[in-house]
Formats: sequence, structure tokens, C-alpha cells
Amino acid sequence: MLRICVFVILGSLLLQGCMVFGRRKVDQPISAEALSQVKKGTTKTEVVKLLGAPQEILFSNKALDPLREHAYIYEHSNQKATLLSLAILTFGNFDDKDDRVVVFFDDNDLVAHVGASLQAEQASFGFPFGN
Amino acid sequence: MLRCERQFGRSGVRRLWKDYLLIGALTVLQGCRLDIVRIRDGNPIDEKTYETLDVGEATIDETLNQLGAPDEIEYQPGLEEEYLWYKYTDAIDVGLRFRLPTPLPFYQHNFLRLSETNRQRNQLQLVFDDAGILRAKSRQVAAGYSNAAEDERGWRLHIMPRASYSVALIGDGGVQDYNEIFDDGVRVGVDVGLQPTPLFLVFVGGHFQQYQGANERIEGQLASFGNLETIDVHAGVRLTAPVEVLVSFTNFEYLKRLLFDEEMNRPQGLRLYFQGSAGASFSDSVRVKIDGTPAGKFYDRSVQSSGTVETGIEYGWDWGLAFAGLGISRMARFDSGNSPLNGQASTFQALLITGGVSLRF
Repeated sequence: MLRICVFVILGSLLLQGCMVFGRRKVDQPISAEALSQVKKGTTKTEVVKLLGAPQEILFSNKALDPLREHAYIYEHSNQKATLLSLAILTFGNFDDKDDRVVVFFDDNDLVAHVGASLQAEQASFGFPFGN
Repeated sequence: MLRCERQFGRSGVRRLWKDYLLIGALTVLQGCRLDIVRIRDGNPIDEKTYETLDVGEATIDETLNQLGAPDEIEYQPGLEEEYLWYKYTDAIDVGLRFRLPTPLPFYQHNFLRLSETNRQRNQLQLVFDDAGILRAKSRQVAAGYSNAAEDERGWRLHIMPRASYSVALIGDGGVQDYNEIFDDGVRVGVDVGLQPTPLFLVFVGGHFQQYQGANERIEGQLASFGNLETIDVHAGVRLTAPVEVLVSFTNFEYLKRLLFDEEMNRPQGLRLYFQGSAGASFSDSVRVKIDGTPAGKFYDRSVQSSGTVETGIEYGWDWGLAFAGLGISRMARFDSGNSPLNGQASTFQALLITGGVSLRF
């Protein structure tokens, strides 16, 4: 019986490891289909209809019209966390990637340029090694 | 103590003390922990695209199409210039924690943590005039992370045939030490491994091992032992590092590049390896003859836990690697048989010289 207890204690010491997978999403994903409809010349109203309310508005800072809305910024982030804990060793990896869209407007409130990076889905679980 | 001896016998008490020492050592070891944590934030920057952007020619539309949305934008009041920043952060934290050791798997208080964090940022800055033409560009590339090439093949598969020769057997075989009961033996087997990174490989495999039975005079009688044959299956982990790590392990920049920038496909030269595996062994019965007359089974057929630790050097080429090392193989004690020589054996350990190759796919 004592020997069994010894094995149980030994086992519990050696197997005190665990693996943790976690995912954290912030804000709504940005629809690639809706984004494809935002083109040069699209009105601000249409942009809001397609993409919704922006997370952030960049104002022009121009002396003559400081409150002119220069750009709308949309963001969605996806973080994947991997944690491998062995007896005395812990590997942690946090990969945070974003969907980010910036829509620039001209003086007539029409879309002048659009910059988009949709990489949130490329966040991955894994080890902290490699590129 | 006397009560223990009555209950478990003298050798049993010795084994219990060994177990307690092992528990104590593991408990103290539990108080130390090495953490390697990496945090990547943002979308990686495409440096090749940056090179193609010509000042005075590239437009803001072209730039946004190629690089995507900037992480930061700023308008300079009065200058009518637009600043775009693209940022990607890569941070590594390597730390050693000392905690209150406890065998229980809940809160352990850290009383000391030594750590070093290296947080580096790749960033581009682009300046456009009011007409949307690129007027200036600059970049900062974090040196520690700029050289590694992407390995498009992902995890590598290893097939590792190996052979070992035992130079010494350790442990009490029951009536004599194992070294007296068996001659040196051989072990052959194959492991199949998966390598997610250049430093780390997980494997499963199996071995067949045979130790020639010896003749031994015991209490005036000649005992002739049969061969000990076992088959084991196991799973394990193999860690490798360049030989230079022995003299550069205090150089944090070196260790960081070693851990994070090594390329899987690069021929890797001379390296050190350390591996450990655990599993189960099936041992066939060992028969014994006394003065030439069959006297039953000295050990019965049994299944027991087993494990091996091994260290050595390896040399890598494109196709794989060859290795040679020294290891200790351990099997829990064999079940006693029905021979009159019966005695309770202890753990069987063999000191092994090992060699083999690893074919990498």
C-alpha cells in the first residue's frame, strides 16, 4: 500500500503539466465582401452602411477645418495563445493578428483611398520557436 | 525503522528510501521553472514591397494596395503631409522562477524570478504630400528577427533506426547483481519522430533487447541462466543544440537567435543532443539450470515500466543526421519465477553506448 502511495505521489509530481489553448477576439470581424464594395468615390454614408460605425475617426487637423473627418478606422483582432507546461519548463506563445481597414475621405466626403489588411484569421497556435 | 524492516525486508526499505529521495528531489525541482514566452503583435511587414516603393513616384493608393492598412496615421497641421506607420512587434521573455515547492498542483508562490525580455519592433514610416505622392520613406528592422527564412514544409518527419551495446548492468538481480547473471547485451530499435522546430523533436518507437545469460556459482551450485529478452514501446522528447552553446550559454543574444532564428532546412553541423523516453517493456521468462538440470523460471513473464535517458553528439546533413551517445536504460523489477533460486530483484539498469541515423523527410 505504501509503495502504491509512493508511485501515486511520484506520478503526480511528474505529470504536473498541462497544455492550454486560448483565443480572444476583439470587435466584429470585417467582411471582405462588404469591403470590396468600398471604392474610390463611395460616399461616407454608404461606407457606414457597409462596414458599420468605425472604431476610430481621424480628424484632419487642418487649420481651416479642424473637425473634418479625414479617415475612418475599422479594427478586429484575433489572439491565439498556446501554453505548454511540462514539469519544470513552460513554453508560451501569443500570436495577435488584426483585420484593419482605413478609409480616407476627400474634402467632399467621398472615399479617396482605402487601405485594408485582413490577417486576423492567420493568427495561429504553436510553439514560440521559428519565424 | 525496525517495523519497516519487518514489513518490507532490508532491501525493501532501501528501495523505499530511494523512492523518498526521488520524491524529495522532484519536489525541490518543482520549485524551479524555466519560462520561454513569445508575444507577436500585429501584422508582419512586407519588406520586399517597401523596397519597391520609389520616393517621388509611388502614390498613396498604390502603397495602401500593397501594404494594406497602416497602424498609425498622422496629419501634420499646416504642412498638408500625411504620415503612415506600419508596425509589427515581436517580444521574447525568458525567465527562471523559483517557487515554494509543493507536491500539490495548485498555487505556488514565486519568491524570485529572474527574467530578460527582448521586445523589438519592425516599423515603416511613409510620408505623402497633399497630392498623395510618396515624399519620404524609412524603416527599422529588428535585427534579431530579420534573417530567418520561412520553412514552407512545416513539421519534419524523422525515422531513426538505432542500435545500442550495453557495457554495464546495474542492480540487484535477486540472487546476484544483474552484471553477474547476464553478459553484456544489445538493443536495436527504431523511433519515428516529428520535429516542429530545429531544437525539439517528439518521438515514439520500440526496441528489442537481448542480454546473454551467464553461468554463476551460487552457494556451491552452478547456475546457468537463460537469455533475458524484452520488447519495449516508448514515447519521448529529444532536444538538440549546437556545440557552441556550451561556451555561449550566458550570451542572451546568442541564445535568442538559437531558440528563434534557426532554420529547419539548413545543414546543422555538429550538435549536442539530450533525449528521454518512457514507456512499457514486456520481458519474456528467464529460465535457469542448476548443475545442468532445468530448475524452472528465474524470472516470470512480466510487463513493467521502463525509461531511457541518453546524451551525445550528432552531425546533420540535408538528408538527416547520424548520432552517437551514451545512455542509461531502466526497467522496473522483473517478477520472480518458480525456481529454487528465487530472490526479489530490484530495478534493472543498463549503461548503453548507442549509435544510429535519422532520416529526415
